[in-house]
Amino acid sequence: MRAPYDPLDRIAREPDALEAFYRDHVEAVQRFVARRVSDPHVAADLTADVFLAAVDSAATYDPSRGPVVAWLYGVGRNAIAAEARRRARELHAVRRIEGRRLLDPGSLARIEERLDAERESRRLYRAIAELSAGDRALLELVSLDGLSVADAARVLGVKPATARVRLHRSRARVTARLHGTGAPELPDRALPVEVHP
Amino acid sequence: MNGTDQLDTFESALLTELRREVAEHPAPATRATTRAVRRPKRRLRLAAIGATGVAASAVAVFGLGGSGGSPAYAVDQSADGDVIVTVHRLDDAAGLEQALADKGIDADVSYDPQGSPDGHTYRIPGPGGTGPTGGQEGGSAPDRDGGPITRLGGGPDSGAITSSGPAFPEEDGCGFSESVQPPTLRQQGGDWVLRIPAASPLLDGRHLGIGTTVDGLLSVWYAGVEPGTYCGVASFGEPPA
Repeated sequence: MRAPYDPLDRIAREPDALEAFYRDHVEAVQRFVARRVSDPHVAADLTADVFLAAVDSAATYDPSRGPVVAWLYGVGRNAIAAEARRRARELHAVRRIEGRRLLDPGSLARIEERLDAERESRRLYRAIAELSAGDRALLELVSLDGLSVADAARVLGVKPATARVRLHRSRARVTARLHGTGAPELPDRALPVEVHP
Repeated sequence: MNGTDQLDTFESALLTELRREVAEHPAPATRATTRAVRRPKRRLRLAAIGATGVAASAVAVFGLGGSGGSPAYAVDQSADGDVIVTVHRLDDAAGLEQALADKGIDADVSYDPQGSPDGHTYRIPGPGGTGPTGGQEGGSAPDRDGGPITRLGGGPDSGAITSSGPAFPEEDGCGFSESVQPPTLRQQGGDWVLRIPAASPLLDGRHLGIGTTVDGLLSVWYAGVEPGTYCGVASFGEPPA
């Protein structure tokens, strides 16, 4: 059965296709964000940013290069990196949709619950921040977001074999960071995994 | 796909805004054949996938080593059998890897350019472990509460940072004990000196890794006794202030 948002660029033209896409992925995106930031207002803004970025770049999705969620995480990474650069420069760019403006107390509490649940993941995320940019992107997508090595390699445009070598090296470094010495290797896939097949 | 039927207030409000955005600014229809053609982005521009900024920018200020053709490393063996690896510059990783292999050390050496254009080499931080002075962009500066970071010995005045002391408890998962000492890593002037004791399992095929951290410091790690475990210290020296 074809999803109502197949091909994906329909989400940039058809509100109903966008809604179906949104409902299928809103939880995954919010968890993706919660693994990276600890402030609920920033999380709300970033959730809006990621969906807007998905709409903007829907035409770049190529189904032969992996599942939608892998592509979406790639888009999300860029949106979050852009936000980090904005904050670093203290630019107050005007957002098309300011997520935090849409918050009410009940929603805020739900976001905070998600943030609590992802506390350990954020610790891992910070340890991953020690790596070089390319290694970091790869390890994030695999160990933090639960993509397969093959899908993460496609998102980043590297060969799967190269990705495996780099992951091996990165895991060693991050494990040393997290535990000092003699620590077990990071799992191949992070828990919880929210990838939709 | 398991769509979410129940949206909370925020999620519903965001959905409403997104629907309005798409309704008011629909993208032109694309055919499969023209999909590769990039349409101009709307206001929110995306960063290129490789330019994941943040951590990457911290090191790029190192610039070229400028040591004009001098060797990047030296691998020597002392009279008592210790292998001494001196890294002058984070350059020629493949050469060092081969030199270590010649000593029977199974090593993987990689000095990632850390996001700068390929081909750059980095100067070793000076004594005292001062790292690069470049600006770390906000947001993702490593949060030091993230867990224990093994940071070893060396007084601030010594100009050397040494892995002395019981870096590894007893006969631990790293395979070191009273009689089999772990390797040490010292910063000596502008050089890094890694000393691998003669009895070390690293000279007996245990996998060794040498690389860099985003702080521009040398990192050394090695396989633990159990498959899949790793030992070592990710960085020596203090990160940049």
